[in-house]
Amino acid sequence: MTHKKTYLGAGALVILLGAVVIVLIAGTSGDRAPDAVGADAGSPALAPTAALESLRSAEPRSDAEDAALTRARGSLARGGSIPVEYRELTAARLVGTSEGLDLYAVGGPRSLCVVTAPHGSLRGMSVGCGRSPEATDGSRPVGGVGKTPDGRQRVYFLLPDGIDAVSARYADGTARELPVTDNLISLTSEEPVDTLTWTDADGHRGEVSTRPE
Amino acid sequence: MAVAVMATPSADAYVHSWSCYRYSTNDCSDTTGTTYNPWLEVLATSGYSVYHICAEGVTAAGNQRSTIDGVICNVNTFVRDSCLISTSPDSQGKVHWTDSSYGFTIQLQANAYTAPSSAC
Repeated sequence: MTHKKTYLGAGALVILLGAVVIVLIAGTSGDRAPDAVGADAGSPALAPTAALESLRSAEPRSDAEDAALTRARGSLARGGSIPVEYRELTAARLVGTSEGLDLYAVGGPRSLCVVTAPHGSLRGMSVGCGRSPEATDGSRPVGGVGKTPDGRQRVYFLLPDGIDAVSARYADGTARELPVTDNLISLTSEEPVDTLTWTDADGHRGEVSTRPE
Repeated sequence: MAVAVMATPSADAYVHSWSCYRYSTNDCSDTTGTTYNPWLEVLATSGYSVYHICAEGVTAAGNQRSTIDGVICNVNTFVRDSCLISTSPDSQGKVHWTDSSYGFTIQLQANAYTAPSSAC
C-alpha cells in the first residue's frame, strides 16, 4: 500500500514536470518571429537605431540625409511583398564617403538600409535594406559589392557597434586589416576581396562573403 | 532646411510591374508589354533577406546597364533599388537573387520606372 502511494506520487510529479516543460517550450517558440531569417535566438533583438551608434546620434539631419531617408522610405513603400512593419524608417546618417560615393545608414524599428549617392548629390541614390535583428547582430550585415567607374572592386557593409576593424582576405590569398568607422567598412581595390571577417565586443567571430554564390 | 523630395514616381512615369516565384538562381526578366524601355530605375523586393538580391537593366545587345553606384546586387537584403546612369539605350528590367540556405521558393516582386522616384 505504501509502495503504491509512492509510485502514484512519483507518477504525478513526472506528469507535472512534463507539463511545465511543455509550457516553457511553447512559450519560448511563441516568442520567435517566424520571419526572423538567420537570427540567433539568444541575441537581443535590437532595432537598428538602438544597435548602431551612428544612428543613435541626436544631431539634426542634413538635406542629403533627409533625401536618403525619403528615398529609402519610397523604396520600401513600393515593394509589394514587404510586410508593413518593415517599411518604417526613422533615422538617417551619412556614415562615410568612398571614391566619389556617399554612403548613408538609414534605420527604423525593424529595417536597416544602406543608401548610396554620388558625393555631395541629393539625387542618384540607390537603396538596399535588410532586417533587424540579423542586420544588426552581425549574422547578416547589410552591404553591397560592385565596381568603381575605373573597374576596381567596391565593397561596403554596415557592421554592429564594437567592431573596430575587419580582416579582408583577397582572391590572391593575402589578407589586410581595415578600420571600421561609424559602423561602416568600405573599400575599393584592384584585387577582389573574397571575405571579410571580424571579432565583435563579446568575442564572437563574424564573416561575410563578397563572392557570388 | 529640409529638401522637398517626392516619395513616389512622377505622374508621367511609365511603370512595369512583374513577379515570379524563384527557387534558385534563374533570371526573372520583365516580359510584360514592350520588352525594352528607357528605364531609369529598377526595384527588386522579396519577403526575406537573401544573400544577393539584384536589380538591373539589360540592353537588346545583352549589355548590363551601369548603375550610379556601380552596384547591381546588395548583400543580405530584401530590397535592391537601382538607379541607372541614363535612360539610353533602352533596356529590359531584370531581377534575381541567390541564397542557397533557402529550401523553398521565394516570391520576387519587381518594378521598373522611366521617370525617377524620390532622389533617384
